[in-house]
Amino acid sequence: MIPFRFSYHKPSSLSEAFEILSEDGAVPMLGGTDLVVKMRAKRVTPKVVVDLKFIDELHNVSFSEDEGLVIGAAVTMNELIEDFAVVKERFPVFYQAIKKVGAYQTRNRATVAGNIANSSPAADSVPPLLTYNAKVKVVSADGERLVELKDFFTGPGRNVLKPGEIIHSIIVPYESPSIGMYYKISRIKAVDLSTIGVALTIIDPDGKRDIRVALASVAPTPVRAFKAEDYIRDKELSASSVERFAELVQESTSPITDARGSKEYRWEMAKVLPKRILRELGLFEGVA
Amino acid sequence: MTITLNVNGKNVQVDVQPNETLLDVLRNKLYITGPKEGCGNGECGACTILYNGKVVNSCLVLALEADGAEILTIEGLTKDGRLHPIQEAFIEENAFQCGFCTPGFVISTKALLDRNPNPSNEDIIEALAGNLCRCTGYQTILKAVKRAAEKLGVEK
Ligand SMILES: Cc1cc2nc3c(=O)[nH]c(=O)nc-3n(C[C@H](O)[C@H](O)[C@H](O)COP(=O)(O)OP(=O)(O)OC[C@H]3O[C@@H](n4cnc5c(N)ncnc54)[C@H](O)[C@@H]3O)c2cc1C
Ligand code: FES
Ligand code: FES
Repeated sequence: MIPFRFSYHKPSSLSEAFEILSEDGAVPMLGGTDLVVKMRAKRVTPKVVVDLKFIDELHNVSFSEDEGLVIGAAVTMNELIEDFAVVKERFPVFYQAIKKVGAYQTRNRATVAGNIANSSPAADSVPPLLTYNAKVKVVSADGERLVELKDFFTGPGRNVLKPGEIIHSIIVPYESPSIGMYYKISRIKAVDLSTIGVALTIIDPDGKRDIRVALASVAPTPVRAFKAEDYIRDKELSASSVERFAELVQESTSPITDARGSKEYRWEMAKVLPKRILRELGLFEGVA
Repeated sequence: MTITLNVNGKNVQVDVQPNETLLDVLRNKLYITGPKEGCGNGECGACTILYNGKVVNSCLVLALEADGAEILTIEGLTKDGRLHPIQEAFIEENAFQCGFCTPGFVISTKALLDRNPNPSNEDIIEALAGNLCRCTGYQTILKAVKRAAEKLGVEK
């Protein structure tokens, strides 16, 4: 039982959704895996819940090399990775991160759009999407706009969405084949938010070898380590270059202490994990 | 508001409030008490049901959303008084003590074996990671899932 009164709506079109969302105290919902939990604890107390999962157009998924992967907001994480092999084949680091969200039951309800909209610094789908230069398509009664994911977050639980705006879809451009790893450290192996999460993606590993890194749970928002990426771009991966690269990744973070880990531990692991991932990928032989 | 649910093969109509979860309605209005409320937050899996064929935590589903949904709980596994092979396997392997978690584990197992009749240890651990057991330990549960897979394989 949720300990307060609210009304619940399931619009079947976007225009109907915009109308209800314009009511005082209205919030959108997808899987409810964040929203219902927060409502039970009265951490949010909406007057109107607008369930978007009955809107057909939000269930579309498409992929082409030109347009990239387009993920409708209402697609659950399990639908995405089980029904669309392209996710694992073309965006392996994103695939790995989704598998690390909550439990199997959670992923039958949770959406990538909800993970982004919730805007937790710990959102596991976000670091890999940052490395793949994802964009968020935002719609409202007044029209639509595209926001770079890196510009979407403004703080813990905060983002650039204005009242009445919702996420329509996520667009992940396809550049070339990639390899990489999403390394998540949490207190228990499953069903726990990360103490730190590091996505390291290598775009075109046999060609231009563009190494990209983004991290969760080490700053007020998920962060991408652009300076480290610039530094390593045309360098050989040697003990000293990898060490400097890892330091620059670390310097992109500003961790705090919370129930899941101390600021010191996170700071240390922000440097260890990029090295460890490179080693596990077989690209570097040093200690990590 | 009145909603219609198909619960364990039977259509039922029930009056619900917007702030009730599907778990509340199953337990308190339909007296289907197999699904339990452990945490109420999606973390323990005691409330696990099949919802339109997918395994979900019923404590996080708003009842009004479920209008028209098809629901399977552990009560629906038993046919004509005969236990389902998954239930038999849990008994044979002593895969529970207090039993609070068991309906959730059995439903998660059913969902796993429906999509993957021959799961590896890793597959089982991944599928059951959202179900917590506070008394038994997980080894006997792993064995029960394997035994259930064998039984179901033989039945076919
Ligand atoms: C047991 C458990 C374990 C979890 N583990 C993890 C984990 O390991 N990693 C992780 O990252 N997360 C985890 N989560 C959090 C959660 O599952 C994810 O953040 C999920 O992706 C949220 O998606 P949703 O569809 O359920 O969002 P909802 O709960 O429906 O919505 C989330 C927020 O976004 C808003 N919103 C919803 N749809 C839109 C839209 N289209 N446009 C704009 N705003 C919108 C809602 O108002 C709400 O504020 C866990 C949750 C639970 C219950
Ligand atoms: S009661 Fe639903 S997951 Fe614990
Ligand atoms: S048997 Fe008691 S919680 Fe699992």
